[in-house]
Amino acid sequence: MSSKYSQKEKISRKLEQSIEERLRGLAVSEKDDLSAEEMEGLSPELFEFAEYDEKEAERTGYSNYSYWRSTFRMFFKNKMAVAMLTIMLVLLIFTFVQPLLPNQFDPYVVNYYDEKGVWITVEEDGKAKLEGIKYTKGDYAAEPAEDETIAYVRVPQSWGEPKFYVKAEGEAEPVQLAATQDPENIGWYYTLVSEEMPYMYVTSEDGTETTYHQAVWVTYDEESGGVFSTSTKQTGGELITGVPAGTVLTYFNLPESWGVPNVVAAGIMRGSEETSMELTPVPENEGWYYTFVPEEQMMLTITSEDGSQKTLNKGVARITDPTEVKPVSGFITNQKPNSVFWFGTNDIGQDLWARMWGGTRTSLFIGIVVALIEAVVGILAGLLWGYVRKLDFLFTELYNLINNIPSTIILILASYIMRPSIPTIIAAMSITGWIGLARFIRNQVVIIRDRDFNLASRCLGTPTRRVIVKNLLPHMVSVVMLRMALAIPGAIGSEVFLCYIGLGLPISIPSLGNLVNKGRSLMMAPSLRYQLVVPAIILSVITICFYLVGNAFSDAADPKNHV
Amino acid sequence: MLKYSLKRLARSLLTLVILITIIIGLLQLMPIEGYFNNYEKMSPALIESGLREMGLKDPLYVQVGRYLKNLLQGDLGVSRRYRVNAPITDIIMPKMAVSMKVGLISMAVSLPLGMALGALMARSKGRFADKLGNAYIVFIQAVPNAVYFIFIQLYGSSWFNLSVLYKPEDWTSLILPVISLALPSISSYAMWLRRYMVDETNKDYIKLARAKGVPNTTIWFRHVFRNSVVPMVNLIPGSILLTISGSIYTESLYSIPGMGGLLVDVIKRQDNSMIVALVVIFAALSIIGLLLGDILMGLVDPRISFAKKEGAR
Repeated sequence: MSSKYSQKEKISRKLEQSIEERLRGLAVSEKDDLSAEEMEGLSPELFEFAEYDEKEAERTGYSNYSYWRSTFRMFFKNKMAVAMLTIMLVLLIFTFVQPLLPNQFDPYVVNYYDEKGVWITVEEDGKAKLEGIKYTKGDYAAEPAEDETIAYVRVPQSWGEPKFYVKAEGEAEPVQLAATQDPENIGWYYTLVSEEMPYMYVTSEDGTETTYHQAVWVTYDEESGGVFSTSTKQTGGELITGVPAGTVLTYFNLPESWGVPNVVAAGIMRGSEETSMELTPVPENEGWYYTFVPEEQMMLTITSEDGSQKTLNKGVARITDPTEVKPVSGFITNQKPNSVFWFGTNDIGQDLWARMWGGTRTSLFIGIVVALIEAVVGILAGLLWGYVRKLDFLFTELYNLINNIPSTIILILASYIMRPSIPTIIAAMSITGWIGLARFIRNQVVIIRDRDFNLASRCLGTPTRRVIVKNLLPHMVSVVMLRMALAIPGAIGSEVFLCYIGLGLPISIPSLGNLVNKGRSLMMAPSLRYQLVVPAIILSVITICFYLVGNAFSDAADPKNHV
Repeated sequence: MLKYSLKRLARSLLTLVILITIIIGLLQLMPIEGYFNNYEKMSPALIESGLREMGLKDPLYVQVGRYLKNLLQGDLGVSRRYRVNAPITDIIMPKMAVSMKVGLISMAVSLPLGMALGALMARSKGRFADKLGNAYIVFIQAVPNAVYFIFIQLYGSSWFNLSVLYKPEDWTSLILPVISLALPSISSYAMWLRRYMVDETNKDYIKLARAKGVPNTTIWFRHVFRNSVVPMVNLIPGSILLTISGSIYTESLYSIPGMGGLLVDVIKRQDNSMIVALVVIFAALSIIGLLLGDILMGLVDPRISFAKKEGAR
């Protein structure tokens, strides 16, 4: 407040001073005014015609008030809005920067597992996981021949230099392979494994730790309904000790809904003796059970606790060969987030991180274009509506028509008739929005056109262009900005809605609506829920940011709030 | 008042006729497979005769005239793909009852809650309760409702062990859809009531009442609240309009056999005649809603005179 007063004082003092100086400088005559005759007698050369100067004309009346500076000062006082604006700008910039970052996937490309390589991660307790996702950067460290597979292995630090052993199927002698460190990918060792001896296990430098154990892990694959047996460690922690002679330590992992599974062991021959096994939960490994299966009764029939579910094939409790080094085939489907696919992959193997940002780009593009169309068409139509009397009837009736019908219905109808693509979706969303803005502009034009300050400006000879820019526009900027800022989250929301009812963009184009909708269809599988949660969070952040920033900006831009 | 109502009614009917004309006109541009159940197997001659039989080859004004004539007799046409050749009115009637039940329950929940929240926010303007309520309103208004509806369904069903889908015989299966429908309406009722009440408190007569020592409670309930509720009356029939888009989501999310879910179904099956019928019904409902809202407001508030408003432009 104090600054404002001093500001005014400064100006008035300046004025006073300049007048005083001027007076002092002049040789003031004794007489103050001239009689009519004396005036007649003055020669015109004494006078100078004052040219009209736009800037000079209003200078005396103006403070150094600037509409936009004041608006921004008001806006930046609102800490919350500034924080939101920052988040928004960071998100916006990031969506454009993201494709340029290294190691990004194309959102449209379906990713396959690597054709010639496998990546094995060994954990502290000897658990080994084989994956077909290329975790290492750059080309293969060594080019695998036709019948070879390159195996990359990562072992815990405490293991030291790992030793690789491979063996052929069955009771063959293991052969040690040279483990070479990949200079470009720290922590990865690689070797070439031939097709003849594909079964590989890894031991630590001193040979005390190994991934190959004298036990069997039986796992169930929900998709195929089959069980798999392996001697590669699957459970965490130490193995169960005290295995009775002549038996095999066998672990089971079945879906939670099965309860405690029933396992009946039998010999290989049909009709041989059957023994029901007693299962004990494995400590610290939820969902795992173990039992000791007699060596001669290795065929295991597994059913759920109540007997309603049964595995397709029988489990085999025989020490099997170690991890088979064989490239994984197929698409990288429904991969959980990992270091290569940061947000995982979807059900056809596309990278969700890339699709996420691609979708954000698409949705923001749609939102911004819709908002721009609304602003441009709305302002033009509003000015025509306000200034051209003949068009008043037409626009008023159009407004009544559009305003009477829910915009959702218009949106649905328009996108049903025009087949979905980005331009048609933009067109469908732009049908209704502009008329509200046009009506507002029209009302403002009608109200403000003949206000006193406009009359004053016109009397001072201000050109119409200047009247519009300086007197009319500031009254509208706040509402135009608000409507634009709200049109963006609105359009993004409409896009999600259209996708949901089946009228959205083709599923191949990444957009937030498509991603949320895809995630929704998978939400009943808890392990795939991340595909819904991540786009939902991004979507909420974007819409809330635009909403709050738009509101704060329109408050700041309203001249009534400029004190 | 009566004259105004009649004028408005005539105008509404005109709007509806224009809308029907536009829809029927636009549908001419549509692919024609939406009219046949087994389009892929039909020969071009068969399609041609089928279209002629349905009257789709007639000029636009004939089609519109016929549609309006049938509409007046309560005939919306027959479904082509959703249920082959079943009259649309037969399909819609039972579904309307279901939609109405869910809608009315959620309205009965949201109206008192929304009003209470709005009044509370206005009374504690600028304080914590107001800020909290504002955060809720911003969230609901800004985030597309598809997103939080999905999470309500997901976590509501798993945490409280409620049914994921609607079952007519189990009333608990209605809890989640009603919550989903009520959340956005609570926020809009609260937002408007708060705004009206705050506006009202700044008026001179309230200042006068304060100055002459009227107790605060009396001011709030006898003056501010009463006067702010008047414009809310206008909103209530219109909020049926709001629930239409809401109910499209909730009904198809929870498989409620109502009108909103039906619209999604027929769009997915591309049943053109059903889509026209549903769009006409939804539009008619909202037009009537707006009309009733305006008339109701005139009845509630004697200060409002429509005749004057028409003239002053």
